[in-house]
Amino acid sequence: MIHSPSRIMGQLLFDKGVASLTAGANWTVTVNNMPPDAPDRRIAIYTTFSRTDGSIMDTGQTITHPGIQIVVRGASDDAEVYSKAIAIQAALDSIKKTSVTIGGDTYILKAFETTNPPFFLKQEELNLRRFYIINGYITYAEVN
Amino acid sequence: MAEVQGVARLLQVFENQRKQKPKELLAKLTAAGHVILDKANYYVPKDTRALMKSGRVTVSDTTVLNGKMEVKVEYGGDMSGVVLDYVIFVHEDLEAYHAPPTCAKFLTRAYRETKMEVSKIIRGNKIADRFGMLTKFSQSSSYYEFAT
Repeated sequence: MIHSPSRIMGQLLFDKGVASLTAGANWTVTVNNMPPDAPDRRIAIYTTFSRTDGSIMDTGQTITHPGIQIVVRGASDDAEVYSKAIAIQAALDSIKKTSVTIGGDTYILKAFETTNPPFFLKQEELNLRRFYIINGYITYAEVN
Repeated sequence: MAEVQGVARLLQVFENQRKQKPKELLAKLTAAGHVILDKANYYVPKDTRALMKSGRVTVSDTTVLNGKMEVKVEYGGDMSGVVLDYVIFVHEDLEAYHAPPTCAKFLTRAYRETKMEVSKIIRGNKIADRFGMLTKFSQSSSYYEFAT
């Protein structure tokens, strides 16, 4: 099975201890979707436009770096949400040939290129939840 | 003892380039900016068309001051007293529905899709080569810009 870059990044954040994969827990990662319901503290990871980077002459394989958007949603406490975003950024910065395993599939994450460090997007009018966003590109390979 | 010659001459070359007004490069950068803007206008959501109308290309030449020349492709911000401050929400909210072909990340997408063309425009210029042009993409809370 091939997992989406968003799912792989979610597993990485779980492995790094900055996110949960348990439904209903705080800071649970969701893939390509931000559920509107509780808990307030959620992390959504989206796969966005990729950046291409030439191709390998031998195989013809095109090198692509999938675009990643990480949305961090928290309660009204700005410091808490921003701190989580910074922790996620630190986890991304620590990627260096990092191995991630989902089921029986293993991926090697080589680097995360941040195009925008955490920045404040919005605060919801109704329940005051705050959103921070991190944008970047991931370089990874599947281990056969 | 090792000796390096020609340093004074090299510094003089740098100084001459710094003082030079590369108008041709300015024109190329403007053209490159409009290539991106045209593509971004294709993808930008057009509910009221206010966002599309706010799209603009600006070129700043501060080569005399710091050797830097910059072209920006921007949306939103202060438009004659009317502040369009929602561009970042439209650009970054990936779950909002937009009638195809309009979409979120419209400027990022435009930049990606025109990068080769932009590169050709800029790097086809010998002056640009001499300046070692680099391209980057950045954003702030109120506007998006492509800078080179």
